[in-house]
Amino acid sequence: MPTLSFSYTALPYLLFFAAVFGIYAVVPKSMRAPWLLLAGFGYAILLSPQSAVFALGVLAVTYVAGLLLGGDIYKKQKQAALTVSLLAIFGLLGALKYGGLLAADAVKLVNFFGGSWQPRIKTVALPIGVSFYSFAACGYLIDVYRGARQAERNFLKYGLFLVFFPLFVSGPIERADNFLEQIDHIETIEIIDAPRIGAGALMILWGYFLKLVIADRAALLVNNVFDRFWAYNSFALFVGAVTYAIQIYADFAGVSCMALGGAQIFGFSVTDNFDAPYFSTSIKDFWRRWHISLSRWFRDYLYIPLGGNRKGQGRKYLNILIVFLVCGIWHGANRTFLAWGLLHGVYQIVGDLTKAKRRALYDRLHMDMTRLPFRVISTVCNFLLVTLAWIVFRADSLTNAGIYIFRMFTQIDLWNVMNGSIYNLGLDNTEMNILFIAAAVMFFADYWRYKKKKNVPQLLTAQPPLVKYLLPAALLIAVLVFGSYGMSFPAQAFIYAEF
Amino acid sequence: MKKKLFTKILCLLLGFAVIFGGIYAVMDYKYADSIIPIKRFYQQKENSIDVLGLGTSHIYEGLCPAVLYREYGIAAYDLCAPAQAVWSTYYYFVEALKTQRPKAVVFDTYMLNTNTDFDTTANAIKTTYGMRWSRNRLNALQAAFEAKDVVTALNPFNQIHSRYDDLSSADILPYAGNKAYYGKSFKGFATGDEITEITIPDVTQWTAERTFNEKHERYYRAIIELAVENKIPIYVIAVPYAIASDTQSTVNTARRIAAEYDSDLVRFIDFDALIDEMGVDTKTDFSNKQHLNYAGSRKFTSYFGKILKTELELPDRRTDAVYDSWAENADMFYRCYEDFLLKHTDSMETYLQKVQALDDGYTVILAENTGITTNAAADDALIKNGGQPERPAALSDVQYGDLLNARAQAQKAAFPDTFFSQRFGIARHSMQGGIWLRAAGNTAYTQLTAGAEKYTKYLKFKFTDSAYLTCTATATDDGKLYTNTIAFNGKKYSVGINEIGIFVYDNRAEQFVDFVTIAKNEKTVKR
Repeated sequence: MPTLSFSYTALPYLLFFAAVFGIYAVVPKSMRAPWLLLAGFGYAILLSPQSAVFALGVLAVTYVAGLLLGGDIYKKQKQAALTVSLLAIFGLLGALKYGGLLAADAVKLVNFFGGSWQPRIKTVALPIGVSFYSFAACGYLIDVYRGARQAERNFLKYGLFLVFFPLFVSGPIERADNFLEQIDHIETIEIIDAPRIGAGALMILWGYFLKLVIADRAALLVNNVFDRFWAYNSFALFVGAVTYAIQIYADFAGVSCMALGGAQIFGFSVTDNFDAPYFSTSIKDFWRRWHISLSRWFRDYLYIPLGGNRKGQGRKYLNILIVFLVCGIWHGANRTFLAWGLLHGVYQIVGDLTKAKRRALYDRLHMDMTRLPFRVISTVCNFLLVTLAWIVFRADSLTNAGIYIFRMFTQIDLWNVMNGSIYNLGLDNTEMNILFIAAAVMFFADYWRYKKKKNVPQLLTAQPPLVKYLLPAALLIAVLVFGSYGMSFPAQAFIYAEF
Repeated sequence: MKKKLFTKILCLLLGFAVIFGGIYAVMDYKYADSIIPIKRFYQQKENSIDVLGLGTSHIYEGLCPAVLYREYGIAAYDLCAPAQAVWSTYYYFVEALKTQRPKAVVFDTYMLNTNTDFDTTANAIKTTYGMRWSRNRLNALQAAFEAKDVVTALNPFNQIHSRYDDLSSADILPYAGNKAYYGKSFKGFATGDEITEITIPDVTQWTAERTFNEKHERYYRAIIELAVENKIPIYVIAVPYAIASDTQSTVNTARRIAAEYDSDLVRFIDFDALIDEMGVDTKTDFSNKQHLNYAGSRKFTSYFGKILKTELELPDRRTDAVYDSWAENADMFYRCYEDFLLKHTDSMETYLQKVQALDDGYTVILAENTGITTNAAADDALIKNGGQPERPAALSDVQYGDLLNARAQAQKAAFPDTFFSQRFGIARHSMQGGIWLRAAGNTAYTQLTAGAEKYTKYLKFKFTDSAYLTCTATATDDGKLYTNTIAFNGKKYSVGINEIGIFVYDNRAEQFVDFVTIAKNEKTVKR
């Protein structure tokens, strides 16, 4: 039997989206929230029935816990309720993500000490979206516990907060105070609002461009280089690493744009996950711009409760390491993610420790940090540091990451820069040129955003009519023609849908 | 307000449709051997086809509708695709019956040799994407594509959008830029114009059979049964090719299965066994090991047509104006057939006679290169040294004059002025050589080599075909060396010193036919 893909870039998803919106537009206002909740579970079932069951489980547990936390009970009882519910959610998440890895390590440990234990370890596939809606639910519980918001008594509305289908697969991790409040006013949303729908559609189109034209094309080169890194020298490995930096950004920013645009069409405003992250001038700045909803979650629900920077420098650095370690854990069951998280933590700490000395040095050298050349150099250096960390993130194991980086810095063959060998890394001339041009467009749009603080639809809306209509048309043509889809291109899953 | 919104949405949808439609039209597959035949089939007048050829390239490079029409008045169409799997042939047959009621169907057994359950993606596309949308097309897609690819295959844009690297003029020109084969009178036939000698072993004593793949046999039987259900005589045939013992086993099994139906409507002919009777020559009548060429297909079709005409009551369509397109198709085939013969003529005398006899639908370019320089001593050296520009030992003026005279006599003896005037109606200018363009029976252009330092004539044949005729005077140590070249579509055809080059282009078929050179004192043409 043919199987249908309901990935955000698949035609069945677009048809599903159109059908849900069509009905959303005509049902009575009081039925909007129930309909979207039904659609959310319908979408989860289409992805996999297991995903729907998990979502329902998390929804039920956190709904009840929310009511308890918001109820008239003693503080200790609230603490117990919060602890139990968070342990349940994070325990489940941990078991799903790390169960297999921990079990395998336990077996290795036993056998290391002379045992001959060879159990059959059965791992459960991670339900789609679980990392995102679980974090949203826990954030909500903490908010209720803190008294920052009321518990949501309407099960349908709370359910919609967790399983709103445009956000289901890859977030953003929406905050209850923002999203539940919008759900409260769902009946006042003007459904046919052309500018809003147009902006949402444009956002989705931009997301398709990032995902299909850039990320999935880059994946072909990246997969080739990372799978055969031992056969390549510095130039190819450098190109592979930089291309991966482009791929993961285009991939995740792409799906975020699709989520944001999709929500916008339904009349909801959600967090924009990216704010030109590769134009940041420091690692700290990078985390203000990368996966913003997750960064804020960690800041508000982990870093600040741990004491933040209020308990001395040593504690501050420890807190940073903890936050980035957890951030690494969140990404999945591989030590490479832990190492990647720690590396970012170390980057931040070293950056903070050397900040005063660096400034003194710049002053002594009469370097003006506000001047463009300085900012460009800072941006490039920061990008290279982030890219170095992406190698650890992308590699199959820490050993492979180490070898990759070692070869990149020791097997020098920079003379290959000009001899066309870049076209032999998995993409031929045409495909490489398309990737190059598309990535340039992406960075140009990001630079625009960095300067003007506006996203792509907002920027286009401000253009003269001809540009306003021609650019989206060109974008549409680029997606239709140069998008990596169909049998000629191996399907690439969304990277962040796997976390 | 609502009206404005409605207009906006309409404009948006219209804009999208225009963009999408434009991209689709350009990027859509235009495979001349598979997509075009079925698209043209849909354009045939309803119930106009008497004999329907089904199957693979063995049919569309063998069974020639032009010969059937010209010799027997039979209106035939080859509805085929290269390496078309049996299931796709079945669905083509179903598709054909929607608009046609053929009086006979011809099916080739070649693809029963294969063993796979699904087509390669490329072949699956070629054998299904030309079909109109219907339940039948969905069935064809399910049969041709692996289950995992069926959904993707439902939307052809999934594949065609990535053709940006393969786009050519054929994607925007009518008839895919090839009028000779795919013009409006196209009837599905397209063969090769090469000649390859093949060996066909005697397999008449080979009686072994092979077990067909279940899916192949099921669809093979379905084809026969569909014909029988519709009371259409079906000829299951093996078109001649370099058969081997294992492929003969397939033919034997196919024959046995056909015989199982015990029906007058099901007939089996193994034409490989009838090669001699048909007069098909394994030395000259095949374009490659798999396929007949123009000459072979003409002989095969002529023989098979006689069988069809004898065994079936087929009307003679030659006087019916409705069948003018078949007449046009026959004209084109026989024209291409003559081109094929010219291309494979080696005798200089015969070649020149054929060129002389060409009608005004051809462009003929003659180029004579005498290798003359402005330096008489160097000219002599060229003659003496077989065209090598080597300075001879010092000679007196008298000796130069003698040599020059001797050379002139030799040149004129090989290619006298009458050679040009009588055969081509060209007034040749003594010894200098040049380029002459003959079109529509007249000399349309003349450029003598001595007349210019460099002169280029640009000729436009059709959108994709053009030529540059160049006379060049190149400065050498010995003076100026005049040379004449013909460059066609970027390929340079050089004429050697003391040679004549003949370039032939068929304006009606819109195709390059041949380029040969004739050296003095030689009896054959060189390619």
